[in-house]
Amino acid sequence: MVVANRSRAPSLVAPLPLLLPLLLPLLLTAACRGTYEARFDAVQRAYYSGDLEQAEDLLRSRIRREDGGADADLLRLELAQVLQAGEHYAEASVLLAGVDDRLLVLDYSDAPVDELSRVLYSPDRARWHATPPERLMLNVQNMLNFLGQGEWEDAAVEARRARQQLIREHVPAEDRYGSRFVWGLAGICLELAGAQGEAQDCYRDAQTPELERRPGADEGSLLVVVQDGQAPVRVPALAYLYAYGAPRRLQLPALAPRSRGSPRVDLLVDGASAGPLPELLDYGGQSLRRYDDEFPRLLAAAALQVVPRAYIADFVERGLSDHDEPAGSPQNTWARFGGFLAGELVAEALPADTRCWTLLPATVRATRISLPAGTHTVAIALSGPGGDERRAEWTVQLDPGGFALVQLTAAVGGGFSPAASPLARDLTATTAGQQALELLRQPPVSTP
Amino acid sequence: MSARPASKPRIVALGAVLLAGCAMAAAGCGPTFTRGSDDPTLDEPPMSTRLDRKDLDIALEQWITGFQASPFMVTLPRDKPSIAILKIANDTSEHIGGALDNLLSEMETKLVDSGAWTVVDNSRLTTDANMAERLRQLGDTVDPETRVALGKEYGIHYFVNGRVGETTEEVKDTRRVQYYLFLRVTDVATNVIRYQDQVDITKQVED
Repeated sequence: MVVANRSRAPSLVAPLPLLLPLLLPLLLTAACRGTYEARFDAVQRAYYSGDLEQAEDLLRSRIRREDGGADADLLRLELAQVLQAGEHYAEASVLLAGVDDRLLVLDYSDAPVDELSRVLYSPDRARWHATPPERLMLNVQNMLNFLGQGEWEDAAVEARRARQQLIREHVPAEDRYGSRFVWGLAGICLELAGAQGEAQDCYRDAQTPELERRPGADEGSLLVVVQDGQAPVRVPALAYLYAYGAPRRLQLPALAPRSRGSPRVDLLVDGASAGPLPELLDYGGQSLRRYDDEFPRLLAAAALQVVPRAYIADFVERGLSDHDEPAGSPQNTWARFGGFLAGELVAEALPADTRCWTLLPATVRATRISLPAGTHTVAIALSGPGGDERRAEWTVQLDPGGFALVQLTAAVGGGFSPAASPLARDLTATTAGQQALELLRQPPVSTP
Repeated sequence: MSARPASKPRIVALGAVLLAGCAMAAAGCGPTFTRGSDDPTLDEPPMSTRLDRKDLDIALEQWITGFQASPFMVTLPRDKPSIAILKIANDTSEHIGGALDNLLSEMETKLVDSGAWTVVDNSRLTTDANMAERLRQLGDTVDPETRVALGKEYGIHYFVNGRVGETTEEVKDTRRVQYYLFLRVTDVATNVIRYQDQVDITKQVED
């Protein structure tokens, strides 16, 4: 209850000159910063409207300007996604493998609250931390990139990395076995690399007969993958929580759902229907469910930020007030206002970190079919909600016993509208609010 | 109280200090390049948990030493039998395929240098599409058709194949990768393993 205890606040005779160096950088940071997704709007607009070249140029230019910066890893992931959508698999795989070696990961659902608070509200803009699902998607995307290049052994390396992510003890069973596409894709990569035993283990856990079909004699194997929709993104949100003896306005990252993509996706081979493509991964749904688990901890992390804000507000108020004047005097009223303003300025200067891997798909549909060796025409038809249809077509050459990948990022060309922040509301009486307050009562447990 | 003007020598000294500071700052900027032949310690520090040249050199030295001293080598006929290295499979979660290709080439060099073998270049095998596909699918054992092809089409008497496995563990910010390199020499005619050895390599990274 630090805030209520005024006697513990620092006492200064003339604090304003001392405060200026503290507040100025914060205000400048606030002015220059903006949220990640706001600064990233132009890239998303280009990408989702189908202008991959412009999206690539914008990202390359930012990477050049901000090389080694806090967003460097994230920008490379976004660029890899753009390159993969344009079937530039080789460069995309190099980018992802490079990021994988140094990626920081933070599990919002079980990280200590004070550590979360430090990362999410860092004044010096901390290096981006991926969430475990983003970390897993990195390996999934790179399995596809290596399969697209015909590099089976490297695809198998990514498969093993994905498998290691999934079999970790703390991964919830519904995430572990809900990721059927990840297991099935890992099985394909390992099968192609000749690691039959490991492949069988993956197929067993995948329960995806769609991906386990092996070609017969004089047949080739075709894997069709459609990444559809737009993954939910983190957006800034406001919430109120009664903490530290007063109602507090908190800034925290909310997860906003976006388009799930086409309601129906059909596969056509040589002009004939090969049936609808089944949805094997609901990344958007998994992320939203996971966010529900993370929410109390995020709320508690946001509430921890109240403490330094209140210190600064108190600091400014004491500096501006005249102790010889009564509390209701004009000068002391202005002092209180000044203190309040300083607290709010600090809050605005340190908004919650909303960075996330924005260009990921919401869903993944896939199937694997065996076709006679030779040349085939493969088409994917995407049906929109209004009955409109988009179609993409490829010519595929299959050798006996060979393998080919057809991969479509369907959200490219699907249009873009920025995700909206949810309305501010008082969460004190909600289950998440109570869980957050309970977390704040516990001593923080950070790893040194 | 009146301020005393700074004396000329003091201004010069101040300027010199500033210039030196600027020069030092400028010298500290930009990349620094070093040649390995000028600084032999360049190859010493590990830079990642992957396999580097030093790891490969140590592993190869250990394997070749054991191989040369093995009873199999003592009984080897003097007419330089032919040998080929088929594949060293990467069964790890690290992108070390390039390092294993280099290891394979280094092994070929060592076998040639030993003077005891006629070495069939691995790239001769991989440029044959059929054989390349067989090698790609190669597991722990080599199927009879591939062995027949190696003997009849390439005149190979012995082949070397192997794999690298791993155990990876992570505790807090520390990640340790233990590699196990298995290499074996097999008689093409009889499919009997004539020599096999394991080399262990451990790498660790701490954030």
